Amino acid sequence: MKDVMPVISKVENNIQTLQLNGRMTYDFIDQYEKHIKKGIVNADGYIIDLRAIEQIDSTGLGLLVTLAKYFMNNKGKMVIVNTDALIHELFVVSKLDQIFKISDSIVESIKIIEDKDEVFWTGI
Amino acid sequence: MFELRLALAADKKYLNYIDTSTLEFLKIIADDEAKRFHFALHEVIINSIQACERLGPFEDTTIYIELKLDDDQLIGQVRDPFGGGGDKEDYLEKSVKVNALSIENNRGILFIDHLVDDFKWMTYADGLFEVVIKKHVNRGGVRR
Repeated sequence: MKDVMPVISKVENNIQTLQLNGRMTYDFIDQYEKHIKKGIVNADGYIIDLRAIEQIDSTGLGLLVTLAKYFMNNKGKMVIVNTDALIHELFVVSKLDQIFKISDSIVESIKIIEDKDEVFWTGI
Repeated sequence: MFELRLALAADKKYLNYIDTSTLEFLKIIADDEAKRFHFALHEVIINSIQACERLGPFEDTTIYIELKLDDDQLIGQVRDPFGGGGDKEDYLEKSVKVNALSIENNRGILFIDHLVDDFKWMTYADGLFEVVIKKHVNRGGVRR
């Protein structure tokens, strides 16, 4: 992960988008967690974009759980952007799909966060 | 039969190399099947590295990885001197019952079990721990 910035952050309309890149795997997970935690700002909603992830494993998915707990405890809304069929399948297998809001684009994620009727953290 | 054997120090700094090598080997089968098996094998390998980190001087410990395509069956074997313990079904039952937001809920084991046809582990008399995963491969998907 020397040449890849693991986390690219953008804040717009009080929504922070964290685009995750490279290997979100056991060998880099501590580094990844530090980058993410350092980059989080106060916002109404958070979009975690997984589309540029090169590889993810159970420790990477565990980090998403850590983030979910953090945002849930701070009354933040979180949407994950994912278009990878295998990752989605693993969300289902581990029942994380019942907790995470998942979409396939940033535009859709913003709509979910801005929807006043959308209820977050219901599957817990 | 196609075969890949790796023997490396149980250090996570080699994980990228291992992933690259095993993925290269898996190019002989269709992309989707390769991706699923690769994910499962990676999980077995990180379990092994984690066990070595927890229980021993891992820099001096070797883990052995074998990957074989034998007829229609893909076989992954990972051996280390520190892993093991417990019953697979107990782990799986716990991982299914626990709240999804639990940080430690054996997700890796759940994923391996989901992604392959056969998944078992055993400890030999000499203390060596071995995990074996198997998956039937559609020969139509094998790149020749």
